[in-house]
Amino acid sequence: MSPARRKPAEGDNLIDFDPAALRADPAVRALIGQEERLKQEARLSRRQREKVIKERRKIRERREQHTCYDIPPQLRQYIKTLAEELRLPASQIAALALLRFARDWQAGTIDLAPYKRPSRSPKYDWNLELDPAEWGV
Amino acid sequence: MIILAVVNQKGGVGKTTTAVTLAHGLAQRDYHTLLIDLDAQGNVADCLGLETGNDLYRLLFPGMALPLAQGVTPSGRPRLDVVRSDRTTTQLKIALGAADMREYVLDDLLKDASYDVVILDCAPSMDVLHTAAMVAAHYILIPTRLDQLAVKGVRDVLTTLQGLSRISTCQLGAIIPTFYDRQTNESLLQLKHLARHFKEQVWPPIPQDVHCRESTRYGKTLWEYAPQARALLGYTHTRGQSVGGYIQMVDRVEEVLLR
Repeated sequence: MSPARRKPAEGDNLIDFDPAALRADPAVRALIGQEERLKQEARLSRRQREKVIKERRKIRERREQHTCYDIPPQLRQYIKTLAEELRLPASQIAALALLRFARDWQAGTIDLAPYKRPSRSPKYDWNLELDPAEWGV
Repeated sequence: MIILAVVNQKGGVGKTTTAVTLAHGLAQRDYHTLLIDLDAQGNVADCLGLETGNDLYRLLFPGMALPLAQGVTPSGRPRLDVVRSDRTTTQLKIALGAADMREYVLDDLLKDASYDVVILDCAPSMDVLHTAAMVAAHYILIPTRLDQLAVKGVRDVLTTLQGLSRISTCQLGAIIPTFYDRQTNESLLQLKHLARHFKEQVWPPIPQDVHCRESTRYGKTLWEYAPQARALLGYTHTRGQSVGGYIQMVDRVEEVLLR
């Protein structure tokens, strides 16, 4: 068995120290996590390893398509329910909705004025205040 | 002024490389730095491309000691001075062995020093200069290879530090894993073991890198010889950040010890 595949025996005859109650350095934690993952992968069969590599590549390729917006939970639930009904991915429905909004915005058929309220944040001038009654659509 | 002692009673763990790289790294970040070689092998001068010299002997010999300003040697790098060492350091240790208040010789020498940072590169042995370094220093940095014998050296240093607590206020600054080898289970196992016990006092490891040995041959620091060396830059983590390496160590020294 190659050394990479051998599972290391922990706690065997290691130097003892008095326990100290502090947290680990984040970079050390990240490195240990990465090393452990690589070591775990090294113990997989060739087919399983290829699968893991393929999945990781897919995740990396999709990273640019990922985004994170805060939306009201009722609206989120509505998109989810709609996606199940139409048997479509929720992401694609959300993408279509955003695309339609962008086109309407460019055509000047959307007016944000009724929703706009001044913001106290130093980052934004305005907030859009949506009527909670409309969240569930 | 902050005084850092680089110590490990085990030899060959990268003390001198760590001390030289740290000193030059801090000097490059505008800290006026003094590097003192306490090892009779005089390797600090070799690493900096200087002739070995008896600076330490002249500064500390009982009854004949010079003021610090007259004993330091410019390293040829901006803001970095050095106190060199050579075989005369062995005679110095014998003479200090019979002197009163010998544990305070470095503390007295550095009392009025006008540096931002002083780095003491200790010898891999328990002697009078080692004790004096731990009395003078504010923090100790312990480089260690990730193997059983070197980690035992860490425990020995901490035991010594505990023994000196009546005359020293020195604290553990960090444990710096060196010669980190990703290919071996032992490196990871020992790193996890250290991190579990010393938590955030274990700093990111320095990757094993042949540039460290080569730079010594040319009398240059790593910053001069191989600025892209893995030992400086560390590993690239999956999210693109660097992990480990001497650059991150200098960052940590600035963030944690020089605040």
